[in-house]
Amino acid sequence: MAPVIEVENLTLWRDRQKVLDEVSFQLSAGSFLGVIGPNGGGKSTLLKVLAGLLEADSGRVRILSLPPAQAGARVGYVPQETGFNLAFPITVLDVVVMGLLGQKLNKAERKSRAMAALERVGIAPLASRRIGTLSGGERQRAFIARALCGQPRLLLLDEPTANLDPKAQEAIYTLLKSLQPEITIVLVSHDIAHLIGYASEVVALNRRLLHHEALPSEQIHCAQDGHVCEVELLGALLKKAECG
Amino acid sequence: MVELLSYPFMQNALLAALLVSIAIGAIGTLVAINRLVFLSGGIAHAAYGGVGLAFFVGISPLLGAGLVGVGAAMLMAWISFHQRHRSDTIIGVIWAVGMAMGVVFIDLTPGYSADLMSYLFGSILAVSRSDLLFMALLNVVIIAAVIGFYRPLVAVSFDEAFARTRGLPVRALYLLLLVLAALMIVIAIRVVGLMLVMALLTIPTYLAERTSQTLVGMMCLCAVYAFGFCVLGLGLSWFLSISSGAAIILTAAFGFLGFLLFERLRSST
Repeated sequence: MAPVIEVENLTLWRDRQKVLDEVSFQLSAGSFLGVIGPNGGGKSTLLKVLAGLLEADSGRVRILSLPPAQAGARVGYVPQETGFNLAFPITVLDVVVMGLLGQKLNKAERKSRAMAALERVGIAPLASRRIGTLSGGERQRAFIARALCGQPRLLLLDEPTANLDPKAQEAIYTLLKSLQPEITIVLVSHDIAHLIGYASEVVALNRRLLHHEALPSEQIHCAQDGHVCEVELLGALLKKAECG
Repeated sequence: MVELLSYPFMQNALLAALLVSIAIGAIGTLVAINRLVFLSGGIAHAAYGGVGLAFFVGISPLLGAGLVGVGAAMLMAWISFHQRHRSDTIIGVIWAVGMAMGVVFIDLTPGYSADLMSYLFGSILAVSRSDLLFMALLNVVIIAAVIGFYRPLVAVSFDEAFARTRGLPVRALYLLLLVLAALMIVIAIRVVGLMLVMALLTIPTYLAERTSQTLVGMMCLCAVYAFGFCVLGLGLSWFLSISSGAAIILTAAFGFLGFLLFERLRSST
């Protein structure tokens, strides 16, 4: 079976700086990949390339054997929440229906698909609420529902638990875990403790440095013990990457 | 009051108020939630250059404002795509140059002293039947475009990145939005004038945003608020013998202050 993601020698420049340098990795179906690394290390940029929002300057990227821009609804994307206008007068249901843009469905079908996605993420009763009145965790669930609405095979999430309290973070990770193995997940996060508790593989990224491995259980256990250990793990992964 | 409504110029004024309110509701709402009010101000003042150019070459001022406004909208869209970090500076330059060009063209128009004040502050009581026809035509274009592209426009306005992942032509939709904003500004020029366009773009849209659950609701409420302000301002200008455009905006400003006060009182109880 072809990998869901194939990245070969991906290089990308922005503002005369190399943001990604010769990045290569593959991801098989059903995986849960965590992408970690320092600020400015290219994590979100990599996700945007995979979502088809940025084009590589060189190298080859394939999503389900297609160029990212042609993967369409097979890929669900949950961007960082920082850019949203929360005063926007729109209901949760209407936000989720956006996930069906480009698909030829009538109004009833669109509503039914959107409601099914909301059921799946556990916030169907909030469908008629204005998006800005939801809590951070509920809002993230709505954005995940929007991404799921198009019935994707790959879900890309950019820091979906940023600014959430620990309980809401846990709930988001549990939700994402429940989507596996039907949906392959790639998640960018600074929240290493949670991430490696749920991810099956991790990529440590610092511009041109990349390390990719399946997580051994002792590292997962270690990282769940506390923040110091998380930092040590990240440091170790990046050091390995530098050496490798 | 009934006698007032029997005057043809007052009937025209009310029809113009209705048309501008519909345009503000349909496209002003999208302009406001996309935070494009300053950019629209730039288009409005560039359109003033079009008014001057129209007098100079001898065509309808509204047509001149429309052509130059649409041209400015396209230029500003291009700037937003390619020089995003300097766009506010460049919009400011276009803003000032548009005004200056308008004045210079009027100065160069031989033997004619146009009433430019009517395009700065509006002259709703002087709206003619042909103006109404032109405004109605532009309204039809605006409403058809908003209905036809409603879902993509909402998606791009709410979350541009996600819209792009769904294959929407984000730049083309942004350009469409700015061109529609230019058409809306041309409609508003006759009623409230260039200088006051931004007040009508901000006050009714703000009130509607605070009191609506959906974007369609916001558009409808915005049109209702704008029409209400226009009618009240028109009445005020008639009875106090003051400028109609300024009276409309001051009425809207009082409505805005009243709403803020009401919200403050409601939150404190």
